Amino acid sequence: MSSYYAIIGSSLVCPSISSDWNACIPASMKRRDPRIWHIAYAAAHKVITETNVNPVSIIAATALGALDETKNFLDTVFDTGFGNPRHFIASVHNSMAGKIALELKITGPNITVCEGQNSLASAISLLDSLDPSAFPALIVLIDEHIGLLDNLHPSFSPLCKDYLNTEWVDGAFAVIVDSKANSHVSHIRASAAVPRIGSITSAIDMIKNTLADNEDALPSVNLCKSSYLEPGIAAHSAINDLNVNRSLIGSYAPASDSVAIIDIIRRQ
Amino acid sequence: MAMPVYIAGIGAISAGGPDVPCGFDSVCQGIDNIRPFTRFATGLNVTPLCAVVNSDIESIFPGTFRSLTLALIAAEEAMSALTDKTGIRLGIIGATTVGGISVTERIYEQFKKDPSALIDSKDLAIHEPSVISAELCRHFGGCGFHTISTACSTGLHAVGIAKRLIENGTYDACLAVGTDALSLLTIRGFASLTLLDSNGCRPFDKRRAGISLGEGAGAMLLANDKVLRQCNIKASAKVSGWGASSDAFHMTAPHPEGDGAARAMNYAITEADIRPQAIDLVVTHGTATPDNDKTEIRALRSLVPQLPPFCSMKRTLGHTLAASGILEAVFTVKLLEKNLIPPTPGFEQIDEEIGAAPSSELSSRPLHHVLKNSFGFGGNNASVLFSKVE
Amino acid sequence: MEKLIEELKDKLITSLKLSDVTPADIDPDAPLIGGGLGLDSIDTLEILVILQKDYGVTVPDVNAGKKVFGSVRTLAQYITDNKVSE
Repeated sequence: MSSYYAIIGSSLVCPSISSDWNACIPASMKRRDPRIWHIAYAAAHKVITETNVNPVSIIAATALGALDETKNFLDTVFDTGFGNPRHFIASVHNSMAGKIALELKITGPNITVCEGQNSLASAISLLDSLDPSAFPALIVLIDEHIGLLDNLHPSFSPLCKDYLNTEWVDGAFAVIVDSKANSHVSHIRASAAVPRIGSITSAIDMIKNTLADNEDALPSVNLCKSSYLEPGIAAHSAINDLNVNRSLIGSYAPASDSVAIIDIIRRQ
Repeated sequence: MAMPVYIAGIGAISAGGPDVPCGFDSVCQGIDNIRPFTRFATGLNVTPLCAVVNSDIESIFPGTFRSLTLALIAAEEAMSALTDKTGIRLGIIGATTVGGISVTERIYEQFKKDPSALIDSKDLAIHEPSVISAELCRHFGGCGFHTISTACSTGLHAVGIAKRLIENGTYDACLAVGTDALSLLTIRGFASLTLLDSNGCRPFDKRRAGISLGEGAGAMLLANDKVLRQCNIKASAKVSGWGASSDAFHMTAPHPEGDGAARAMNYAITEADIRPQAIDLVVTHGTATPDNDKTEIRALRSLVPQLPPFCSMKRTLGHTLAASGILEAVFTVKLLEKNLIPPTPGFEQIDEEIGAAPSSELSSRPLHHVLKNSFGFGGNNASVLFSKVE
Repeated sequence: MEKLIEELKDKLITSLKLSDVTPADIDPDAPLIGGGLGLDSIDTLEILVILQKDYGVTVPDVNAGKKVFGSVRTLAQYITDNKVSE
């Protein structure tokens, strides 16, 4: 498990839930930029504004990246014979993090993590690779759902149906953390992604055991194995629910057949 | 002072050849490996010039897609040094831009023709870049993995991250692997940006007009003292500094003064606790775009006005995107070990705006510290300093 | 030529998603890049795609590009000069 990092604040942007989520998007961005950049920007803008803290670095997390832009670029190639440059630029996995850095002038280290459902955990655990001068750090989990995914579902072979029979929620979760354990009450840490051994739950247990805490004091694991945003939704909920002292969020990624765990603790 | 992090093993597969010795020879001889690309139809009017991996690799790891095959080959070479894994906590950092996109392209094209056809879930799963790191982790018995993707700077960031995770005790050894295979997406993508030079890339040359894409994988096994002793490894080099920064200027063009690049380089040098003048060689990002080459040297000059010798490997290896930082870092470590400065094929005429020429022939001189740069889309900058173990 | 200029204005508005601009708003001699339309260097590349796709015209290199993108009129002139006649 990584070290604990102090949580300064968090935000959650789910377009399907809040219709005014994009009120903060500047007009210049609205015209040209893809929806996934808007969502990422909105989450980052929200947490920065609400905490009044300017992060130095960004670790972004995304399972599928800018899927719509990848599709759009391939469409222009296959349908018209001419690839559209704007779609290509937006299609690289780190374009969201680059856009946030550009708009909000964040000039420190900028890393994007792609770990399927384990992306948030993997990103948090990589906080260990940042120097003290790179904090406060902004972590943003972003994944989008596009219509094409619904079209593909019926085509999937039966092996995949379990993890696809879920409600796809898209959006972004953002959290600002500091390396100094200080007056902030909530702290977060996570494991790297680990290849599954045994069933999902036994693999999660295996990681949970590395917490080396008093076993009885640990809560049960909230296991996320469906939409990519689920760990972020669970984390935001745990951070903002004052009745929750400790939350263990497990994740399972079918594509890489691996697990990870996030640990959020509220110190008294 | 943090504990030293050594380079315990290196691996590479590239246009220069299927392993480190072949690739290194190609780099030292300044071989031009850029050729018209014929593996699949690109749909472009002008056949792009690329540096490809020519070896027949399909059968080495059956059932894997190209980026993963390349990664496994390079990784096996690097990991051969780890002869005794007892009690060693091994981490994996995977770096890729497109990962399995060659599969995604194929199934999407098929889907557009026939939306009712069955798609194998395994094929779709390959779209997630983490399948590469997960497979590496299973293959080598690692205890944890991370997958990063920051376009052209990814491979070098992987080296820096691996360094940190050993320094803070998370792992004893950390395998960083960067891989990218040529795909329709990247070829057509760079073509749409008008960044492919129809004459092949000409780093730092007055007439330079863009990049030449390449493919390959680089692998670096970093390790602490304990691992070196246990496996009886005599490391010739260590990773002494890593700098990371963002320009926050433009989504594709670098900051004109090379501000972010200079910060990243300065950070690596400062961490290594050396004077900038102590850099003996800079293995540049040197992609041959009009902007990159100019701003990279501008940034370097701001740190070392007299400019150390610098070179670019892009004509020999092609621009291998996420692999480039670590693939070229592998050969950087070899140069450091052998005290060699390679030529820069593709360069002929000095650009007065840059006011400096890269190395033009193979030469020998004592090297103690070599800096490697990698700059990615979105102004994402990585710089790593490698130092000889004296 | 004027017809081509109007045609280009329409294409620019559609392809570059200039949703709050009408053809009358675009001065054919005003600078395209860095002018009032708020176009950036990536828009330049998209215009290049329009030239190739709809008019079969290519721009050989970055330097020629600078002349081509002076204004809508220089764009129209370039197409007229370089378009392969049917």
